[in-house]
Amino acid sequence: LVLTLLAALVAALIGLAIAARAAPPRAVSLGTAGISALVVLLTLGSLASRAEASVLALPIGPLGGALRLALDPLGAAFLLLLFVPAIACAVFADAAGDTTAAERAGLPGWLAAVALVVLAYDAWSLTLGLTGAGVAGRLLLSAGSPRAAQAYAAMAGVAAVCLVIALALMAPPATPWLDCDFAAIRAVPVEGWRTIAVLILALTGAAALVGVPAILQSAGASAPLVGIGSGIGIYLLLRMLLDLSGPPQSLWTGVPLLLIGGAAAVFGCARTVLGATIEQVLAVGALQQMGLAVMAIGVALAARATDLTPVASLALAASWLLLVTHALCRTALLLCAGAVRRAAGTDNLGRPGGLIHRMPVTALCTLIALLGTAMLPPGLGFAGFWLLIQSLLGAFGISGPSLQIPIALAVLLAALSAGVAAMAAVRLAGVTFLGRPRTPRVAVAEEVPRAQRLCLVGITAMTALLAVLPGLALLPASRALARLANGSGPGMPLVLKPAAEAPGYAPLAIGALLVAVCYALLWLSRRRGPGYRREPAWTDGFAPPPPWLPFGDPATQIGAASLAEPLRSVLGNHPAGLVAALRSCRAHLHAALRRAPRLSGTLGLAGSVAITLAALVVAIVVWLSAS
Amino acid sequence: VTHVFAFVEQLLHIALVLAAAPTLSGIIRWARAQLVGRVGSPILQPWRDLARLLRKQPVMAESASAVSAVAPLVAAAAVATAAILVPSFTLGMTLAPFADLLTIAGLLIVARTAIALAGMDAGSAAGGIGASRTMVAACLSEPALVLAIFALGLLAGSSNLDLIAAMQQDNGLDWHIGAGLALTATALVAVVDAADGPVSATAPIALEVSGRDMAAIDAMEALRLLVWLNLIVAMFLPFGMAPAGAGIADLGLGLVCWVAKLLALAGAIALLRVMTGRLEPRHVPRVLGAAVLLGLLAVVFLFAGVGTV
Repeated sequence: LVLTLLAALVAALIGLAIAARAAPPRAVSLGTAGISALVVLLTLGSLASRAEASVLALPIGPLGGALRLALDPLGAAFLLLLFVPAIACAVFADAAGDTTAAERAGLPGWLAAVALVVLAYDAWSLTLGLTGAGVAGRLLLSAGSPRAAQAYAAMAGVAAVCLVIALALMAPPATPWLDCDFAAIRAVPVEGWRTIAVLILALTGAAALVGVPAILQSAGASAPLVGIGSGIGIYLLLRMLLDLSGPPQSLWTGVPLLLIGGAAAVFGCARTVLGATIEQVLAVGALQQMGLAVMAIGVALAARATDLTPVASLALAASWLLLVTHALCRTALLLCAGAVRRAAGTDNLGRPGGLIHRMPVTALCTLIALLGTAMLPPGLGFAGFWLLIQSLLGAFGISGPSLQIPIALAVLLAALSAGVAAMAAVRLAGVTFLGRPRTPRVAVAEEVPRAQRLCLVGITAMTALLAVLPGLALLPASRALARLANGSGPGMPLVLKPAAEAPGYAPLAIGALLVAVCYALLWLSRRRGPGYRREPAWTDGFAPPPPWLPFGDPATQIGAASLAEPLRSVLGNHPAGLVAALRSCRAHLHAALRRAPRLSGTLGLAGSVAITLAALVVAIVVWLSAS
Repeated sequence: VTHVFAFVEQLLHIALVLAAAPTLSGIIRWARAQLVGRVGSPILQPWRDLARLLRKQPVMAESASAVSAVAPLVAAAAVATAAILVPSFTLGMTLAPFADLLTIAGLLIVARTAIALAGMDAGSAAGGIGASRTMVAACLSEPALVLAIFALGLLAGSSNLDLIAAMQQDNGLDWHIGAGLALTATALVAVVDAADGPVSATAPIALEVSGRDMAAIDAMEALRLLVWLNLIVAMFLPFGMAPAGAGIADLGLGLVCWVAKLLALAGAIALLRVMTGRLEPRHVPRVLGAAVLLGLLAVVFLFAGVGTV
């Protein structure tokens, strides 16, 4: 029943997308928010009732085939993860002001496609979902940045191609392709050269979806696509490598994930601390959490192969917490960035300043969300980071140097990325919200409207609550993670710990201690003594600013570029260093990405559909040759 | 009864650490002055400074926001929390299960982050430059410290500081080479993180805060140095520290050993500061880069020490 209702809600989202041209904009965005809330409620209900997976076959498909949908614990957990931020995105879409009909149709259509990807139970429905996501994402981005729109469609096409071929490789031989659902794929283990091929294809497909933030640098509508869309990539990675691949694989399959994830995390951080616009900085920063989550999945793969289920479940819990951090904090930050862009009229980090005086609620929400992404205790991101390091500690003894050297490197990369993330958070918050306004336009910025403010406060409060009670964040996914780890789920209500008897990280205790000490200090120092006296800022004896510069000379403040300058020289000067290698990777990636939109641009709007049809043909050929 | 005893130990630890921090920085200042042939200020001078600052009216820049008022408190609270968690003279205190090394390292970075934000709040040039320097030191020290923690965690099987200290006590002087390398890495991070002068954690807001906020910042700086000394003692030199559930005699021995170790380390710091002068910002990446390499080496040297499952 739940599945039927969910399918009806997906259909309603599609209907809303189709009707977007005629319906009033407000009805579309609020309808999307309402349907997303219903999806969240339904999923919560199905998680609470501990229902087993059910399958629904809809008679939609080529050659009389059916569209098979299913809701298992993993799918339900991800549906929840993706649709909670979707509510906030839809409410914010309402405040976006003048939008084109295509943009308005994009969000519900894209959410429907995302739900279809998560509910998919066979290759056909997965393909349909990914193609739909490409088309709808293109619509969503069409007004803001045509180039990013084309690139997004192309990337979704690439992901569909890779995943469909991988599924074809995993399918049992001599089964009609259209009848081959996930249960049949799960039943046969993947062996031999197919393991490598599936690993490469799944990683490429996930990278195409997770790497989307890297190309959406200046697109206005990036909040849903980055905050929610990257989660799809990790979902598909978990589904392909840990669920559908059958019994545990060999040990080395985790190593590429460890190294690629680490490289992505450091690359994302380096771009975050050196980027020039707010949304670019936030979008690329998503690569950090995604990279750390991929590392955790690598640890889980290696640990599962040696039947170390405690380590595997620890690693999976780490990846889940990082995903929750991403979904909540990153979405909140991108929505705040959108609010700043509308209020201050600029997205450039060199222009705003002192916005905390004009937009206090947005500033506070940004600071709390940044605590999560900066991997600092007692934030939400630190809990995931802590679990990741613990799982790496547990996995160190699994095997010889072939695994130990990658693990040592992984610890280095994860810690470096966490450190740089803290610097990036200070840079973003300090330059945007603190100091003095750098342009007159910023000095008259307005706070976001009340509905959006409530929405921001809600999502930030949820972040703070889950940060002190990470067990609550793990609860919806516990059954799914237990199944993926082949063991018991992470039973960590208050204290995150690596083993049942071991001491661990207790965010509630640390937070309570911090608050208590703060209060004691406050009592000690404010008990007596006069209040603050306000004076002009001391500028080392520099002459006071002339009257036509009411906020002082903005150029005397430190800017976004100069703040990161010491780090830039450090990162750039290391000979044979990590960053030198990453830089050349980045150059290649940029060149490739620059070619991608041109390719899909020449194909036209139907480009991604054509690519996916080609993928289907290739998949059928591969499958025929295999059987 | 053991719980009550552990709680009393915890309270005693908090009181001792809070009392020791400004005194220790006074001792270091005095010793440093003596070493270069000056008389120096009295050992209790930091206490007098704190009392004086608490009485003064604080001044705030016109362009500053609430961040300037809150950040010094948050920073001091983060360092004080770390100081409460790091054991001094005994193991097995009430809060020992929460004394995770990664958390403690994170709390020290939280303090630096809060101060960097406060430095950027007024929009003055000096504050911004200080924020940049302090965050560079923080973000490069994290990988070195996490690698050193990882090496010790491999030896002890946990990243909990109490378990690590107990492991080091059991090993005695029979050090694994990885532990030695980790000690060097941690010491280098400590040299940067507890430095005075332009790379100190308080540099960004030295010109921005005054009055009781300045008192909070000064107390935090003294406490930060003590946290680092306690950390190094607990991670690498826990000799004489009373084990969990020890009697009064063991506690007394632990106290004496703790004070002796602190005095010895304070003398070493004074000597180091006299001999090397102050740390310049451009040296920070090099020092911390060396620390990262040493930490990586420490983990690599553990390949031989940790068998496969």
